[in-house]
Amino acid sequence: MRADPLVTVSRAADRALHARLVAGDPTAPSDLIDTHLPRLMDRLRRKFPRMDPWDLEEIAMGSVTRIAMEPTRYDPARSALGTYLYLDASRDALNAIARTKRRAEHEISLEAVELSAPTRNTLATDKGDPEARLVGKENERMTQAWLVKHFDQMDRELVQLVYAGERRTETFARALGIDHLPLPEQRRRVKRHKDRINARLRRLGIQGPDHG
Amino acid sequence: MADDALLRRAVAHARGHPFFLAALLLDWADREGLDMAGLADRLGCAPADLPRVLLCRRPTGTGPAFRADVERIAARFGLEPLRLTQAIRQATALAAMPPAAAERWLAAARDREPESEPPPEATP
Repeated sequence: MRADPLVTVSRAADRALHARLVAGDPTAPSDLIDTHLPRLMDRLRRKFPRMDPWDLEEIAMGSVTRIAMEPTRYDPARSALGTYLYLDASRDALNAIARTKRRAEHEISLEAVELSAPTRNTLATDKGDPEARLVGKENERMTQAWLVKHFDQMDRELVQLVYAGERRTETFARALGIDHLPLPEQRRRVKRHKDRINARLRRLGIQGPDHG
Repeated sequence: MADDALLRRAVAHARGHPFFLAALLLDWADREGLDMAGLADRLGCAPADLPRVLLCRRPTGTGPAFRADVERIAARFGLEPLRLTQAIRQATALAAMPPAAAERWLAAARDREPESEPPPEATP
């Protein structure tokens, strides 16, 4: 089978450009960006049509500048430079999509927790509206699933108290089973547990209700 | 070939990496109060070529290695090597100065215009 002359020329040009990058030719990064960035953008836009084009452009620029700065990351014997850049940028784009998805899941979870908290759950307690009851039930189900996934039983109770706006030490102390201890000790332990819960919520990408 | 708008955005991206001339020369241009046309004029390059110049690797090393880098960029884009060298040296010196000292030096350089000299410690 004969090689496509255009592809062959392109591979030869790529090899020459890569050799200049490796040799430290100061003009090679400019040629790399000028030649490969538009092609890469075209390919990425076709592959990720629903992704924000500005995000895609940043990703494409990231891939191209990485190779400009560290050309030995790419091995010309293994693939065409355009293919390497496309795969590298596609991986970054998929990671960005996954991050966005995770953030969205956290936001849904946060919304569910907030809506299910007794002091804020206006939808779920609106007994006169069947649709509101349905939404309330769905929120409750989502909240429980999310809490079970991330917290043990005691912490689930604490999270719900936090989101309910509960501030009384004795309520938390009862939930923790430490209400028999002297009040100063209860306060100390309750604070420690609340700090721990808030830190865990932050790690999960959720700001506690006291943090706006 | 990339279109002008894409190249300008690539320059903005490259500005975040000290590897590129964009990082050095655009900061310098900002402190000198030069816009892109002013910077092109100072470098003696065609405005249309400026983004491609800024996307070059920043010349490194000292002596012959630095000179070779500058000459290569200059030859490629039809610049005068001396003007490019002066710009890089001024920008490098300014980048290394504390902001207050840089402002004093810039003010002095503006007083001396049009012939502004690089500061004495400006050897890259």
